[in-house]
Amino acid sequence: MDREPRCLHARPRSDPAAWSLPAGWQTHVATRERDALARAFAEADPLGLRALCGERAVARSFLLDLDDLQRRLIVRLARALAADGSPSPSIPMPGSTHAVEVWLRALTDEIVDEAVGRREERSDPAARDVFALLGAPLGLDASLLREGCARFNRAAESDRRAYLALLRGGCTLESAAAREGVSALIFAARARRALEGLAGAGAGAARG
Amino acid sequence: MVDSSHGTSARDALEALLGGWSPERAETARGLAHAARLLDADLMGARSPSSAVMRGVEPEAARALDGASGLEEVALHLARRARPRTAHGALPSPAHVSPRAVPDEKAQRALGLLIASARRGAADTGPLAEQRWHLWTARLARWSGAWSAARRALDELEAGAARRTDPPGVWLAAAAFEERLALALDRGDRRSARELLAERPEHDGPTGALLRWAAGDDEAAHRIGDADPGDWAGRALRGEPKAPLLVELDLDGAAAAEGLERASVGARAVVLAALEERGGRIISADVAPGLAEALQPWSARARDAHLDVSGPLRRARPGAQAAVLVRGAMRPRDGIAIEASCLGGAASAARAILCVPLPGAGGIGGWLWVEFDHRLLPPPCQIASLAVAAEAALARQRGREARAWGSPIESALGKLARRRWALLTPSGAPRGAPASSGGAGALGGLRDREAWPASRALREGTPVRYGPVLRSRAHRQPSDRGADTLFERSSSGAAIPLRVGAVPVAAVVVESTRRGDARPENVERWERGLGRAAHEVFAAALDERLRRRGGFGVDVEAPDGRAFVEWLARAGVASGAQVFEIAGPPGAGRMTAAAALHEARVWFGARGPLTLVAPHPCMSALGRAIGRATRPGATVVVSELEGRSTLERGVAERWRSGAAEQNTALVLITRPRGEAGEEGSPRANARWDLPALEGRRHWIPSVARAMTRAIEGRHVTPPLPEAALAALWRQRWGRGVRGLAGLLRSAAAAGPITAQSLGAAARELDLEWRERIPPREATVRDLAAAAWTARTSRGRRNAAGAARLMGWDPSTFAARARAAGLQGIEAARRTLA
Repeated sequence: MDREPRCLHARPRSDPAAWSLPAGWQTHVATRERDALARAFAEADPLGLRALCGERAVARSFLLDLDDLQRRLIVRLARALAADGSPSPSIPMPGSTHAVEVWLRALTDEIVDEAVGRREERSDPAARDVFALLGAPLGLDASLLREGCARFNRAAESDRRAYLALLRGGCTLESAAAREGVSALIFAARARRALEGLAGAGAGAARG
Repeated sequence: MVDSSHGTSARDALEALLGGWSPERAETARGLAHAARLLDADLMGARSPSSAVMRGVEPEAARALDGASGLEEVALHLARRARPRTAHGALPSPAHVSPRAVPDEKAQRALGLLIASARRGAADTGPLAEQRWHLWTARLARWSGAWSAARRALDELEAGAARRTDPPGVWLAAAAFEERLALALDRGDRRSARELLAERPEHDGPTGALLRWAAGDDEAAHRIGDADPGDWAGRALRGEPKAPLLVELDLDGAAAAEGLERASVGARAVVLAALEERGGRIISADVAPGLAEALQPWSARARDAHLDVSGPLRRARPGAQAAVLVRGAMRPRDGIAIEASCLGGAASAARAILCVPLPGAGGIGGWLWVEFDHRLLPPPCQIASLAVAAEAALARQRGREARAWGSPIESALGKLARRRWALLTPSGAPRGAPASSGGAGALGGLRDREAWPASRALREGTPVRYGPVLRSRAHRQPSDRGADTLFERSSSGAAIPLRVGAVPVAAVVVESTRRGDARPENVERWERGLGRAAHEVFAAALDERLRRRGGFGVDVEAPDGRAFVEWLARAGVASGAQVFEIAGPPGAGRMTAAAALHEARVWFGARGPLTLVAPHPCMSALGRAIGRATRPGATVVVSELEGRSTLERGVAERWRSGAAEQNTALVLITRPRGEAGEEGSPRANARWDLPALEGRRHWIPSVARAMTRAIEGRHVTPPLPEAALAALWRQRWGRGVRGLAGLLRSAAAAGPITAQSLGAAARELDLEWRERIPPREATVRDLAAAAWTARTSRGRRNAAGAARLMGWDPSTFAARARAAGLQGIEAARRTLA
């Protein structure tokens, strides 16, 4: 149990999405009705699950649909709280707040992994997910963006991290490379590989 | 969402990366990169909830739920049934409502079987699953009182959980710790629970939070959450809207406590107050030194505290139910009530108050008042022990007081210089104090073990003469010396059964220091006198016990009074599961008659409470309510079943099948036969028909006197003047005894009761008030009742008195009585019988 907090604290300080359980969180998970829990989490997000999803996706340098992550986390959490049987169903029962935070991060990481590994296409093309919302103003097809992000997510983590470090700005290529402990050339090559993954081979044809 | 200051460097970096790409591809990549940047910014700034989330949550949740039920869900359902009400510890609720209800008595066994089979199956699944079932084993063992088995299961569970560092393992360890706390609390070992919790300050499960809150940590309240801690204190603490404030305590079979010391329950004050006619009296008090000075002013305040509707005394009801008040943010009304009623007042308010009503004459005979500086209330078993000790102290106190019903015995025995007497009930306890010392000053205390003559007299129904004089020297044993009489230094004695109808209700033991006093002729005389007084003694004894309820007041001289007392005696002595029926119109005094029946049963040794079960049209719901009230020696009254003979039969049958082994009585309150078109309850062992009060005016004086005694303690002094009785006598009393009680209470509140104050009160209450019974409305029963009520002490006719009662002149009454054929008292008696 000691290792994980160190890992968590090792995140860069500039991370704006650091998440923790709000005070009095126990009262929000007291019900045992799964649907009621899911609805409560979705409507008001009293536990900050959206921030948690964002934190885990950013920490692991993935490009994912935050709504989808949050939705999946809500369902999984409601299910774990309500039906997975004792002891895990009873979050408010045992354990300290810190243990709950650790458990929730582990659960979110599982969901992020599932989201990254998922290959199925959306059955409903008209669904306005985040790719459709962001792609339309930029003249990008939602499926192109979705597939690009999926390819990006399958790239090596060092490549993703390098690309996002450059994309986010705020630092030069050299300083970002120095933080990673590699030369600027290697760092740029990593970022380019990730960009190639994002753009894909036939990106030009899909424009429109 | 995107910080523009970083935009330039990001664009530069992107352009550098796009070097060498075709323009179209670079253009697409730029678009994708921009979209990716927005996406990343969305992830980084994920603070606001998205409206898009709700879409798809419910179908997805529904899909996820389908395969999620399991054995544990079933176990949770069973556990809700199997768990005793007094058990501590939180238990999650099952996710779904089970369509199949499991009977409570079978739930524990079903849960045991489920756990056993689940453990076998879980052994293949993995150690974690197996350990979860260890937790269930511990729970079940705890609920069935197998403390050591529960502890063993917890040891195993903790040993397994200690090796795990993953989140499920951490959960399991925490759940095991919760279980250990609950085990300590269930056992009443609060010190161990607190020590356990002190070892783990980081633990914040609900049982731990409850314990911290109980120990004074107000901040811990919000951590208790809505988890069901399951115990009675927890229910009170959480303030569930449906949670009863009154807690049932099972006093039967509880071990007698040694005393009423506050140290034994960790309280700051333990006060025992006896309720008497003119207010409460403190019999025993053990209060913290800082509160000692507050006791006197508190006792003055507490005397009228039962008038405070929200106060603890009003919340504590007869029938062994205690009121628990706990001060805290969750229960503001409790806080106000505690500050208003506790010893220290608002300046030094207690954190919790426990008020245990003690049975006595007329329902409540006293209160045990316990104040705590913390919220860690003792477990119900300990409260029950305390109540038993308090009851014993109360009984000892009462034993020293003279009985109101001693005078009929005194007059029946006549004068005899050195005799003393005691009345023994069939349950064996001496109920009468020595009525005469005979001037010798030689009376010691009553000795229960020497009750053999009384037992024999009760068994055989004939007087038993005894005494050292009856034993020859040759047969006397050394242990006999001075040990075969009830009173010390008696030389002769006789035990005479007191019969009401055919039922021996008590034995009067008469002893004398003189050898010749228990001569056959004397005993025969005593027997004759006591035989005449038996009804009066029994009725007075019941009357005394019922005085607090008000309005019993049996007139044993009335034509139907003796029969009623005999019915009570027959009903009281009957054992096994009995069903009685008391029929009459509302306001006839049916509930008081049911209470009298209960007191008659108590007289004959039944030790259960009197419980009123509210009517319910659903048979099974009514059956459950009755089942909850049923315990050995209890009297369960079911009212308002009028006209529902099917329900009555069903209730009676269920009662017979369920309570046959216990000495219990079910009293059905019904309408008069014929009015509801029913044949009464065919399953009742005995039935008593109570006419409306208007139809038995001759009872009004005794009922009114009894009611006045009950309310006078606070307002005025008896007796009721004759004019007031006459005024009461001639009213309609459509609401029956309730209307009578209401009018008397209203009149008493204004001062001494007189005919004028009764009239004023009636006008105030907007009741019809008549100065005379209109001659056209007068029935033969009215005339007979007037003649009977106004009879002289020698049983002669008093036409003037009877006319006063009716509000007529004597000649009118005489003429009407003659026309009705009521020439003498005997004719009136026959009419009323």
